[in-house]
Amino acid sequence: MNEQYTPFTGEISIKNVTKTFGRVRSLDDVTATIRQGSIFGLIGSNGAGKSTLLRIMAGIYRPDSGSVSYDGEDIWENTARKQDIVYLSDDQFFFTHGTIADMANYYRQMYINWSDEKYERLRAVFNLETDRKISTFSKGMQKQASVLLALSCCPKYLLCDETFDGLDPVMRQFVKRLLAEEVADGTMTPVIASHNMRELEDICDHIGLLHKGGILFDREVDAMKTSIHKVQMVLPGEEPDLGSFRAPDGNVLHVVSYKKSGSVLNLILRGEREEAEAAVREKNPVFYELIPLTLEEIFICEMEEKGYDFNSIIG
Amino acid sequence: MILTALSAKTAEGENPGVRTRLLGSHNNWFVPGLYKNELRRTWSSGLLFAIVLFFALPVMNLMVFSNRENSFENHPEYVLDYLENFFNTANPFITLYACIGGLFCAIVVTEYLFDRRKVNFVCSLPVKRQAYLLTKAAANLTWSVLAWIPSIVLMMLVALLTETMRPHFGLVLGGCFVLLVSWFCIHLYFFGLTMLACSFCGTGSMGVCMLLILGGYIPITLVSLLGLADMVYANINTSYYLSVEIFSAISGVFRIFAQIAYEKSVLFLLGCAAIGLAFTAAAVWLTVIRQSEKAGTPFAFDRVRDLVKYLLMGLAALLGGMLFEAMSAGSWSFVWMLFGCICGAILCWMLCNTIFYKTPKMMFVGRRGMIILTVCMMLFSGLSRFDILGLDNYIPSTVMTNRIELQNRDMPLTVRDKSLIRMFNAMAKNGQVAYDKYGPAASYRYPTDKYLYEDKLWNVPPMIDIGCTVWKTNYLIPIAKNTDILYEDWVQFVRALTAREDFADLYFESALKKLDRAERLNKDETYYARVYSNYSLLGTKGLDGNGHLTAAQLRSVLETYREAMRAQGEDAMQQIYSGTFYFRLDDDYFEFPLYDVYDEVADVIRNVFSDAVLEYTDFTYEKKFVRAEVYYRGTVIGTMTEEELTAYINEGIISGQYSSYDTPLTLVAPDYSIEVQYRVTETEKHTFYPEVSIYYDEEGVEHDLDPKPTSDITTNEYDEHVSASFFWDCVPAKYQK
Repeated sequence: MNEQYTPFTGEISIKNVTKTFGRVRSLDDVTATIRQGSIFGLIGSNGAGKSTLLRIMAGIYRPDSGSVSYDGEDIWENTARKQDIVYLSDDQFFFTHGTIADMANYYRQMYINWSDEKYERLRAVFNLETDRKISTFSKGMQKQASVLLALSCCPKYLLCDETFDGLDPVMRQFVKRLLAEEVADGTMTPVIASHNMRELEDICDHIGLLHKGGILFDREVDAMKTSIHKVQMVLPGEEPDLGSFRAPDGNVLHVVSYKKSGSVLNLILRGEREEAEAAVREKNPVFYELIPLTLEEIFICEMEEKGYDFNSIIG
Repeated sequence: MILTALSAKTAEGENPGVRTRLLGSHNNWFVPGLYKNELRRTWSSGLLFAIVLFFALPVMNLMVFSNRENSFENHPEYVLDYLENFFNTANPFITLYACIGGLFCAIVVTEYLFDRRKVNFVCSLPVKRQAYLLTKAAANLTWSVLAWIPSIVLMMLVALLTETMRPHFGLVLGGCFVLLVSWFCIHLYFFGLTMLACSFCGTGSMGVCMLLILGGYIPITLVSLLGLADMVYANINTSYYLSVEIFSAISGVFRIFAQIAYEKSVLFLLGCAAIGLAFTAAAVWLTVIRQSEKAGTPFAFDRVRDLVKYLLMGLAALLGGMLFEAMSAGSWSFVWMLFGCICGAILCWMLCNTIFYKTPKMMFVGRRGMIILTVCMMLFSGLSRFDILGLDNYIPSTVMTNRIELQNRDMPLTVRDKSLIRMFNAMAKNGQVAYDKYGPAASYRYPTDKYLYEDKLWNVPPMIDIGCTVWKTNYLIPIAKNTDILYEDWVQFVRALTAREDFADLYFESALKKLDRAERLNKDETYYARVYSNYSLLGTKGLDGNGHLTAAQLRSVLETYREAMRAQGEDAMQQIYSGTFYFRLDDDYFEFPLYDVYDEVADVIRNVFSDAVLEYTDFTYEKKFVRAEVYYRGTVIGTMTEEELTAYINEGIISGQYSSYDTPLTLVAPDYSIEVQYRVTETEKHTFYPEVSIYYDEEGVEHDLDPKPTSDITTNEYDEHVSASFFWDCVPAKYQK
């Protein structure tokens, strides 16, 4: 029986996925949606289930319950859909005495969309010797090799598990740029798993937080950044009532956190930037400043609101 | 050629420079691109196979033909003989190479299942799991077959270049393909079996263990059960051949190796191939359903792990019980058997847990299952040991008895007639025949028998020493027994069997038949003959001699003996029965004792050994009673005269060396002992003939020759001490304390 290949254009739907290894429940009823054209970051501490989820998405593990489907088709043993997916493991396998050329030949046989032109172009950029055994490469060079091979397959979805770990800062930025270019071309959607939020901050536009096998948080980065703001201000007179920060339309803006050190007030306000600014100006401060929050700070706030100690989650 | 034919079509895809191939060459079972890749990557396996075949085929034959060049030139028929033997399915190399090659191939194909990284990589690829496995298998099998080509080509060259082999070129060519095909069929078997074993497991080492279990567990367990039956049952006597039959029936591996040096039929080879393919199919199915995350763990399936553990525990409990049963004796042996059972089960359980969970911390997992299984094995041991199911029948039924063979030295008698078998079994039921599994032993106390004793107190033979093999109809399980049978009953049985009274004739006819057979086999041979004397208290004089006899001389000796024994009448039967008189012909060696009728047989000896015997030894042995003392707790309390001693022995009061009727159940009075002293005088007259001293001419006239024989006499005297005891409750009143 021959499977007919048709390009995939839909979204990845993860529904109620549960996976247990022995007595350890690695994933517990995880649900998420990854749309094509976005860079999805999957963040979590060690043992949160990131790799497990990626492997289920890659069709390596079969979930105990739930499903992962691509454009409505279950990924399990679906070779047609797998043509569009390349999985980059944190510990990628290469043939024992294989070279990049050997691996490229192997991938060429497997992936219908393999591009020799892209391979040659990227090989020149990474400047890796194709005739040298990969086992003699350093860890960082092996990572580069795996990225090179993966991108040459022209996948629609690239599942990266701790891919940036081991890359030097220059190469890290380069790979991020590569991924961004692919996304910009509309040809690829990376899913990047990491425990380092700072690493994902400048590339991901959608973040999911995995903790103890479950998704705690799943939001677009832009939406997060524009909906919460850090304000430093100095007010004459008494401290303001926390419920008195109002947007121009009269809605009360939620104060996520409030701290006073001396005469300086530091608070985090939930709302659009204009709304926050208007609410602050209304208090006639001596001085005020809206400071952009890092992703990590946003997450801390969000998690603390949910009752979690973020530092204990991410570590 | 093959590789390029499998290349996929290409077409321009959506993006320029991106080669989008049609998926026509990918399917659920085979991936041509992967096949090509695997062939490229595993060429070294093919090289290894080719090297082995290179030495085994052309090099070896070239060497044989160069070593035997002269022989083959002078005897062209040897060439054909050699080639037919070599290029034959009976060539042992085929089986060995197929076994090792199959194992090697299968491990190469399945090794990725043991490494988590590899499994993750493979399972992330856009290829079906079964397609991946089958494609890899196809690539490896391709190399194993292709490796034959260079060796076959070289073999053809050798055949063409070798003058003596050239006429048989066609045979060599055909023979190479015979070897190839037969090898491949057996190779498939071992390949499939190893694939199946490895598909159950997540590590290579456990895969090898699983292979041993799949190939050997059932036959080993069955043979162990047979061993248990042999151990605890008196009436079941398993044989080596039964074990071989079981192994062959149950274990394909054993059957293949049992046939290693025999020609294999087409059906056999096709069967091997078919079973191998079935194993491979099962392995593929298991690979598809197994979880990827099990790579690197001992077992890929938890239920298989538990099943294997309990099966091994059962066998360990069985063997442990048997070991301790064998080492122990007496009434505690069953307790030791249970102890062995428990130890075997627990130790195996701990070991399996440690290995299967890869940590000693899990050594005691599954206690409930262990306890249940141990209890079951203990119950099974008890069931067997005490024959709860009544499997051990001391007396085989007439229906089940195929034949009875009585072996009394040189007079084997085979009984097939059912009425006689029934008669023999009836005698067993009445106690006239007692089966004893472990050898001749008087199993009950028996009073003096006038046929055995007379005055020959020092020469009590094993009272009843007739080998009896009862062959069961089904399974032909021989129950080789030594039976106890009373003399009168034995005579009665033999007379019923043979319907003859002339027992001496019967005996000699048997000996003569043996001689006929020996003559047919060794037409021009002579028989090394030895005569030895029969010692007795009465001091029967005897002659020792050694020499060679022709068949005619032997025959005349036998006839002379027959006449002498005829004259003895029933006493002759007694001599045969008690084993003091027998002939034995083993290969070219013939020995016969000296019959008590000294003078007549002495003449025979002189006639027979006239031209060969170099020396005679005339030996006498006299034993005189000196004293008998009775001890009570180490102190002499009295003496016995010889007459009193004889009387006590005859009455069955004294045990020890004087009685062969002791049994493990016989009790003796512990505080009393008897010490008897004899004075033994041994006289040896050694007569030496440096050359032949007499000869018989063609007329049969005896002539004396010089030199004369010389003799010397040596005498040896010494004291002999015999210990004995009174049977329990048989201490004569005058000695009682």
